[in-house]
Amino acid sequence: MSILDPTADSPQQVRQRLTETWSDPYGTPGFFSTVDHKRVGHRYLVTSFVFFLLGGVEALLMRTQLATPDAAVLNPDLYNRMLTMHGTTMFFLFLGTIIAAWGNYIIPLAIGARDMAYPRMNALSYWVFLFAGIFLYASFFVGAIPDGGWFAYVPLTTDYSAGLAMDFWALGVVFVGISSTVGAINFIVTVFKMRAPGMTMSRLPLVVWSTLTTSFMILLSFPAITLAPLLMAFDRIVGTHFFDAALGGDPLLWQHLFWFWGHPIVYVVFLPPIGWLYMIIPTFTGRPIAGYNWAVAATVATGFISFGVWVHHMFATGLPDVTASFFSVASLGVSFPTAVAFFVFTATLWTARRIRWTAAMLWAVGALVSFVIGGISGVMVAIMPFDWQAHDTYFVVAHLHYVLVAGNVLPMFAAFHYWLPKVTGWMLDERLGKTSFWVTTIGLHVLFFPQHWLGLVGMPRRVYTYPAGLGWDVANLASTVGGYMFAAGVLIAMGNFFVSWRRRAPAGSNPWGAGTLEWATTSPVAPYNFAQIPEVHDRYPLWTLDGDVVDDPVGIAPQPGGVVLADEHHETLETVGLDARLGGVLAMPGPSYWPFWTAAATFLCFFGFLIQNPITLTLGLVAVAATLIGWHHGHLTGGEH
Amino acid sequence: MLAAASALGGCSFTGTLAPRGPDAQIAANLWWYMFWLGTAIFVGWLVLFIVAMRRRQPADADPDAERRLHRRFIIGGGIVLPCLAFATLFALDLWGINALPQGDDVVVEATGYQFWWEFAYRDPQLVTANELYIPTGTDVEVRLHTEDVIHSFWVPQLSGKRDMIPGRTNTLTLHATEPGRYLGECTEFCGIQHANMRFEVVAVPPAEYEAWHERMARPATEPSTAAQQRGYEAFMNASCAGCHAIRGTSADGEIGPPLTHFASRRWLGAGAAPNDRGHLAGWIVNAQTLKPGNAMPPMEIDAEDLSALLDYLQSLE
Ligand code: HEM
Ligand SMILES: [Cu+2]
Repeated sequence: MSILDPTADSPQQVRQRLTETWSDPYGTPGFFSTVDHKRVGHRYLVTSFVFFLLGGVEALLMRTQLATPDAAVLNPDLYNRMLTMHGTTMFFLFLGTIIAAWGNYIIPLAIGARDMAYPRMNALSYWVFLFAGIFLYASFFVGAIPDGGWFAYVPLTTDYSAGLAMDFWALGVVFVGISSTVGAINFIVTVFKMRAPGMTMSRLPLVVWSTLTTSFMILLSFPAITLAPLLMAFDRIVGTHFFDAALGGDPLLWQHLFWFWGHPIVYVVFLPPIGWLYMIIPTFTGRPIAGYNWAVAATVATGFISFGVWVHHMFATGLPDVTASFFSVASLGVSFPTAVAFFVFTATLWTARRIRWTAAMLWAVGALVSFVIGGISGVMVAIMPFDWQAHDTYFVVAHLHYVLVAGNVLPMFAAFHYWLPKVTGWMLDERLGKTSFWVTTIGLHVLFFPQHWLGLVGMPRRVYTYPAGLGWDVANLASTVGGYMFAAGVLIAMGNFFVSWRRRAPAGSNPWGAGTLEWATTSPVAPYNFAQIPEVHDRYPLWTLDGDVVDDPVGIAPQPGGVVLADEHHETLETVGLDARLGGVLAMPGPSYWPFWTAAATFLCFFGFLIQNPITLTLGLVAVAATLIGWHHGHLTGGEH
Repeated sequence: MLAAASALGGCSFTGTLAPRGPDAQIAANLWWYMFWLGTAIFVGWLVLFIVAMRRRQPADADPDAERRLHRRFIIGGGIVLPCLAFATLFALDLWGINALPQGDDVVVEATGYQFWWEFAYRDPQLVTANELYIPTGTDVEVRLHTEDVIHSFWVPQLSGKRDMIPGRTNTLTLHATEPGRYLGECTEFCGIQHANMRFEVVAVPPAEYEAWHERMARPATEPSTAAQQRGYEAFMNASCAGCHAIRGTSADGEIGPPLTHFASRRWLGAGAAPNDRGHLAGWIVNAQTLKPGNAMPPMEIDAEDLSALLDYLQSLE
């Protein structure tokens, strides 16, 4: 183990050399070859947010069409395409990737690591995500926007959908899935091997627990969403009959596979956001989270139960009542861990000495309160005789948006207001942050609350229009107004970003007085994250240590148990066991172009499959093989230690 | 596109909250129980949460007492409360499932097409479209099929929905306690005109139902005026007969809805427009204007033939 002699150099010299060791090449080469989890995290954040905006524009177009009965803003064909792309974008390109975005940025910092376990795979998962997004949206430019619904039920999407539209969808979805799977493996290994010494599993920040849980869920559920669209693509392109009832296939197979992925994924996209709230709320109450073990148990339990409930999306398909009842009960079971989580928050606030009402805290609390409504309507639709009425109506549209928007989007903004100072080094404007919170959240309720009513009075979902005179007009108009309000709130939050960027009020390393390790480093974070990897003795190290010392490579020698790594090597610590004993020193790979080229080659494969051109497909496969060989070779000889 | 609004009779809204049958009644009751339970839980929690945010823990509070308090919160709210709610809901669930009507005094085969409904009755046999007559006070078993993609059959005021899935037959029992016209809808996204795939359930007293059934089973009315005769010929000579059936004539197409007693129906194109002369003319000339993307192509037909055709179709009582 290379341990630096702490007396030899000044802290400045050590930092200087660390920076040189860990920095990417300057400019374009650095841009394409970086494997730094922070830069990858930035990209994920920006890309994922851009898709959020695209999905949002699609949603607003739909809401405009539905504002009044018999409207002609979008024709039925275009409406259905917007419907499909809205759902697909939000699920595959935003909800699932925004968690990877914050995960990438925050997880290594929160566990005191210098990078993810596999930095190059990390870069790969981003590039694959980007290329997959481009692939899906390329459909707009060739006039083949997917139109079979984001859930793509067969046989509408196989035998009854001509052209490339659903090929784009099926292949695009498989493509994004690769990114999520690669990312999940990386998170798991990172959490198990890269924690700072002494960070036992019971000292793990809760956001890390939730990311760990969801990573396992992704590994278990994504095979289904890879297999199903591949079978669909084969049915469509090659002419197989996996889903064709007339020839021995089964259309319900699609639904089982789809929801076997689709239900766990709902929990995958809100567990990490709940994890963000687990970080934010203790900070602004100045107290550790109450019932840490309960929170961990609830997180893990949600992960398990989520695999036993997918059939509640299929109650109307006519499954035997006994089978269906099992899933109904399992769905009710989810209410336990969710309730535990909510009372963990309530108890934490109950014993707070003083709550600081920052914008981040407002967003967090607003998310919790709104989310409860989605939780309650979720329990309702688990009851079959009621679900047979509510299913596929606007009631479910209201329910799922409460869960997803309050469970992911509002926490995303909470995280944005909380961690952005760490990312950029400057503070966001608090007043604008609060204004955007109120506008967005009130918008959310005006948008979605009336939709419960619409469903109850019989409005089906996924309709491009509705007739006047059914009593649906007022609620629809209100909902559209809410939609615009929500959008205005998002615009204010974006405005805040640009205004604060110009102002650049310095953040300092720990502006909120938080207790977890990501706040121990400089803001913005230096390329090497931590000059000295801290040793951890409790859940909120910075509340017991003096925050700034951790960034000081030599100043506090010897910090109890702290390890100083040689600054001229690209290295980090490896720890072993659940109690994070010091394992050894890991040489970390440096910048590489191979992840980018591998993703590009994968794009070529999918493109070849799409246009049914065997030559392109073969070329793509060869290219993938070549890049992987290059990657491996580069790894052995690429100037690493 | 005009509304199926008049289907509602005097009612100000349709849907789950205005049940007219035992199945829908159960769902509506369940909804109200759950609504009050849910509201109580939400409000109760919110009050607690607000108090939690407003109160201030004294700085010298005993950490052990705090920990006990936390545990009480989490066990009370996270375990005990959901247990109670869970037990209540599970009981409601089972009760609801078991209380649903199950009889088959009348059997109707319903088939979904992109984007309309076919209804076939037996004894005597007859096939009609987009309007489902049922006798009141009777369990009507609807067997659900599809000719193409997945559709879902839903009459919110009478019962929950059930999917029509290729290769399977689901069944659903409709039971109307009161005569009336009830809106029916497709609730599984089935393509471009999923939004305009409605139908009407017409519940009438059993005697009236018998009379209707007997009348509908007869072949279509013969043309009785010169204009109707000309319309009849236009129908047979244009491509209409290739897609539509009129019992008692040589028209036996199976692609579009049967038109044997078409004039007795209230709606055109599965709820796309009211069935009056003006809309019908527009529909025949170009059905794509009223319902873009439906399977019926625009018809080349001269004005006089069209007028005669309308006369004929409107005579098909
Ligand atoms: C001039 C000749 C035609 C006449 C007079 C005619 C008349 C009608 C009428 C009155 C309806 C509404 C039925 C109802 O609401 O129950 C209808 C619907 C329909 N017709 Fe035709 N039709 C003609 C030609 C065709 C042809 C050639 C096709 C097939 C290629 C066709 C396919 C359909 C279909 C699929 C529907 C149902 C559309 C929907 O609601 O989604 N029709 N037609
Ligand atoms: Cu349909």
